[in-house]
Amino acid sequence: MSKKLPAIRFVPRPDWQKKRLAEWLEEWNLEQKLRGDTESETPSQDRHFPVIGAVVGLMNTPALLRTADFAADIVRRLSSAKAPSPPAVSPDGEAMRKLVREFDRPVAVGQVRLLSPELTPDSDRPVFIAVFGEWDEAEVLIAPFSPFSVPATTGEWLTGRTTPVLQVLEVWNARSVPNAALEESWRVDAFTDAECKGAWHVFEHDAFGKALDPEFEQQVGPPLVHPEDPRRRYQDEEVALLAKFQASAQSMQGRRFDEDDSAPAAAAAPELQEAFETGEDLALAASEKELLPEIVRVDDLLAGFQGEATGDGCAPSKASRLRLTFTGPESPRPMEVPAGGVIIVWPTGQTEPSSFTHRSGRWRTEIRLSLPWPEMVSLLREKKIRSETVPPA
Amino acid sequence: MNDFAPWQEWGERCAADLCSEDTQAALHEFAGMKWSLYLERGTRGSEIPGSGKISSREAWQRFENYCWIKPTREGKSTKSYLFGQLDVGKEGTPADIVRASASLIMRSVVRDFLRHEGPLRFPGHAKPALSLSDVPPNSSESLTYEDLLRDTRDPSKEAEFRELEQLAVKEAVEIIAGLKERQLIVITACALGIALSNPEVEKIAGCKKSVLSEELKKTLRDIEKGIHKDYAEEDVRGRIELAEEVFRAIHNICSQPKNQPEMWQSRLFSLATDIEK
Repeated sequence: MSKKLPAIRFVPRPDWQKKRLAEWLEEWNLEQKLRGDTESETPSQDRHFPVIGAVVGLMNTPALLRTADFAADIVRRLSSAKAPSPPAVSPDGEAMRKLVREFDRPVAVGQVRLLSPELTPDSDRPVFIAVFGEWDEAEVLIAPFSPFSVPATTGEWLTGRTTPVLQVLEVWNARSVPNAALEESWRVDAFTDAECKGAWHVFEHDAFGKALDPEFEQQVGPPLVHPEDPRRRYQDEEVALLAKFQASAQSMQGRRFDEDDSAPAAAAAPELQEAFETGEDLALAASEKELLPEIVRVDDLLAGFQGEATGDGCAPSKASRLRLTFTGPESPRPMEVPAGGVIIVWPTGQTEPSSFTHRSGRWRTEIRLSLPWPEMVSLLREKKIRSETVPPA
Repeated sequence: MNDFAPWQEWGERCAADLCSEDTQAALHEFAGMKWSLYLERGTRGSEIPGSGKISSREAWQRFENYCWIKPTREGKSTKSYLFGQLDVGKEGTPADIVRASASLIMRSVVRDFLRHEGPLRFPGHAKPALSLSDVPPNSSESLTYEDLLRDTRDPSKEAEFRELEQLAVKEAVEIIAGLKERQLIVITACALGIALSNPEVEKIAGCKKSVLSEELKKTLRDIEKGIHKDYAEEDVRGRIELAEEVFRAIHNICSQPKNQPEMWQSRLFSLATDIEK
C-alpha cells in the first residue's frame, strides 16, 4: 500500500523568472559556442536524478573547490601552451603614452572604471566595475559588470543602461577594496546617486537577506538553487577573473591594518567602535544617538560564522527590532552548519529556531529580535546574549 | 606597412574613419575575418542566408561601438585596455597581442548581435528561443532547465512541511539501518567532504575509487527509487521534496560523530579532521 505525504503545497515560480532564466541560459550557451568550447562539461555527479545531483553536489562540490579547479585548469592550459615566443617589443615610451591613457586618480564612489590588463591578466574581456559605496576608512565597495545583458541570479542587478558592457552589475561578486587598489584603472563613466543606491539596495538583499523593494523585484535574476546549475560555473569564472586584483587588494589591506596596529588605538579606531570596545556604559551611551553604533560585529557569537547586528530600518536608534545576520562561507562545510538552525537567547527571552540557507556561495541566516536597539547594544556589550544550535528534529 | 602600424594609427586617432585608407582596410579586414569566424561558430548547425552577413566595414563599426562607453576620450578607454596588454609581459609581437585581445572583444560583439538581432536578421533561420523544457548540453534527458528553478514551498503550509521533514528523518533512519557497510562508508565519506579517491577511503572500504563512485551513485539512485515507489500515489513534486529531505537527513545523521562508532567510522572521522587541519 502506498504511503502518504503531509498535505504540502508549492507556489509556482513567477513567469518572469522562468523567462529571464531562459534568456540568460541562451546567452551563456551562445558564449560557450563562440568560445569554441567543444570539450564536454563533465557532469561532476549523476545527472540522471536531479535530486541526487543536488544532494551530492551539496555534500561534495563546494564552490571554493570548483574555483580552485578552475584556477588549476587555467594554470594547466597555460603550461601546456605552445613553445614560448619572445616577449613583445612594445612601441617606445612616447608612442605608448599616446596609446594608453594615464590611470585616473583619485578613486571615488559613483565612478565606473575599467581595470587595467595588469590587474586582470586572466580575463578574456575588459573588466568594468562600479564603485557604489563607501566601506571602511579609505575603502570602497565595488562590483564588476557581467558580460551578459540579463541578470543571472538574485544578486545581479539590471542597471537599466543600454551600453552592452554596463547592463548588469554582479552585486553578488562585490568586494571591499582599498581605494589604492583601484588606482591602476581608468574612469570611463559615472553612476548616478540613484544607481549607487540601487546597487547598494541589491547588495543588502544579497549579502544580508534584506527584502527587495517592490520596484527592484524584477530588476534582478532568478534564484540559484540547484548545484548543477550552469550559473555556478559562470560564477566561478567571474570570481576567478578578479583573483589577481583581489590578491593585490588584500595585500594592501594587510599593509593598512599593520599600519593601524602600530598607531595609537584612539587614532586607529573610529570613535564609536572605541566606545564599544573600551567598555563605556553603552546603556547610557545608547540614549545618545551619536554614540550608538549602527552595526556591531558579533563574530564570536556563533563559531565558524561571521555575524553582525544592526537596528532594523534606516534609523537604528529608533528601531524596535534587531536584525542579526550570520554568514559563513562554504567552509564550514555543510556538516558544520547547524542542521536544526540556531536560536538566540537573552536574559528575558529567546527566538524561534532560524535555519541556514545557502545563497551565493555562503550560508546565511537572519534573525529578528523584538528588542530595542539600544538595549540590544547594551546586552551585546555585556555578553548577555548567546546563540544555541538546534539539533535536527 | 608593418602589422602593428594600423593598430597604432587607430590608437592615436579617434576612430578608424579618421585613419588612412590602408589602415582602414587592414582594420576592416581583421574585423570581417573575426566576425565571420564567430558568426560561423555561433550559428553552427543552422543555415544563415547570405543577406544576413555584414560587410567588413560594418563589422569594424560594431566593434568600435561596442567598445565605446561614451564618445569621449574617457569613454573610449577600452583602447587603453587593448594597448595596455603590451605592457604586461605577454608573448608575441605587438600586433599579435592587440589582435588577440581585440578578437576576444569581437566575440562579445557577435554574441550580442546574435542574441539581440539574430532572430531579426535571419528570420526563419535562427534557432528558436531556448525552452525551459530543454535539456542542458551534455546532460541526461531527465534534467531540464526547469529543474533549476523549481516551485517554492507555500509558506502557509509551514506546519505540513515540518511534518514532511520529520517524516524524512524517520525514513532516513530506516534507510540507514538497511544499508550495507560499504554503502555507509561511501555516504559517510561524502557527507564528511572526503573525496572517494582518497587512498585512505579506498583502504577503509577495501576497493578502488571507481567502484566506490559507482556504489555511491547506485545507492543514492536506489534510495530515490524506493521513495518514489513507496509514495507512488503522491504528486511527483511532493515525492522529490521528500527525497531531498531524506538525503539531507541521511547527510546529517552520517556526519554526526557516534557514541560507539564502528572502526570504519572512527577512521573516516579522524581522516576528516586531518583533512580539515
